[in-house]
Amino acid sequence: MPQKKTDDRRLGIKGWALGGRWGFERYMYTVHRITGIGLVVYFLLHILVTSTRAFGGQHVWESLMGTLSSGVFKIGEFLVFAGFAIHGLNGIRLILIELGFATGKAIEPEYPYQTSVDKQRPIAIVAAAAAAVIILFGGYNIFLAH
Amino acid sequence: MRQSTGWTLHLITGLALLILLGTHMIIMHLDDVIGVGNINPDKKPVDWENVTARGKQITMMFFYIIFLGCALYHACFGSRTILLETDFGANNKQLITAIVVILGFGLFIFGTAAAIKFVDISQAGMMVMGG
Repeated sequence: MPQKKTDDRRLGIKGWALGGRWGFERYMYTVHRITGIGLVVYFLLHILVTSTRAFGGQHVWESLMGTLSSGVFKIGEFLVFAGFAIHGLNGIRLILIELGFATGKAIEPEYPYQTSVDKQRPIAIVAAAAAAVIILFGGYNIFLAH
Repeated sequence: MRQSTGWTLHLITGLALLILLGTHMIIMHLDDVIGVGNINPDKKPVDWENVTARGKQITMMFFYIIFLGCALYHACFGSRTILLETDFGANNKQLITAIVVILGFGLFIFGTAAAIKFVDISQAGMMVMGG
């Protein structure tokens, strides 16, 4: 009788909050997922909204943009911009690690032990700092400059 | 398609989006800080004059279509990865994949049609505005 493959340690989506040891990179993993979902939801709506300029014309477009320029949508615009900055910069970090540029060479385990986190952590901090700077520019442009 | 091929394409579209979405964000959301890509700098990037000025260019149409394709692939593959982590997704992998593929292709066709149609609208609008 074939046995169903199961793993009692599998946490599924709960692993975002409950799994593993919590370090800086772990927070970035969860933030990357959350910003990704947020960007997907916005993107699907964005396709529908921007298509109105082709299928609805000038009047519909200007009416829609008038509605979307009000206060609550400004906050939404800022959140999307912030999500893009975080997801994009963290994405660069993830690609660097995936391709082996940010993990360092394999070495013998000699005391004092070194981990790849020693190489990855500075990149994670630079990515977070760069995202913060871009978010500040975006916030200035969206809320203060007009 | 093999999972490894799908993942590689996810990385490639992610890199492409850094450029494409980065350009989009600079034009649309950093217009006062950087201020590039708008024909009428005194107006907002979403004002009809600027939207049609960009939309009438064939290069922009191709930009939008490539941008749309990369963004949809990256979004669909990423969403699928997350959905497969859920208990429901782990037990219904083919269903999740089918929904994501159909949604992705459907939106790509819809968005591409809008981008192509808008070139005609923009060029006609510019001719009227120009007399």
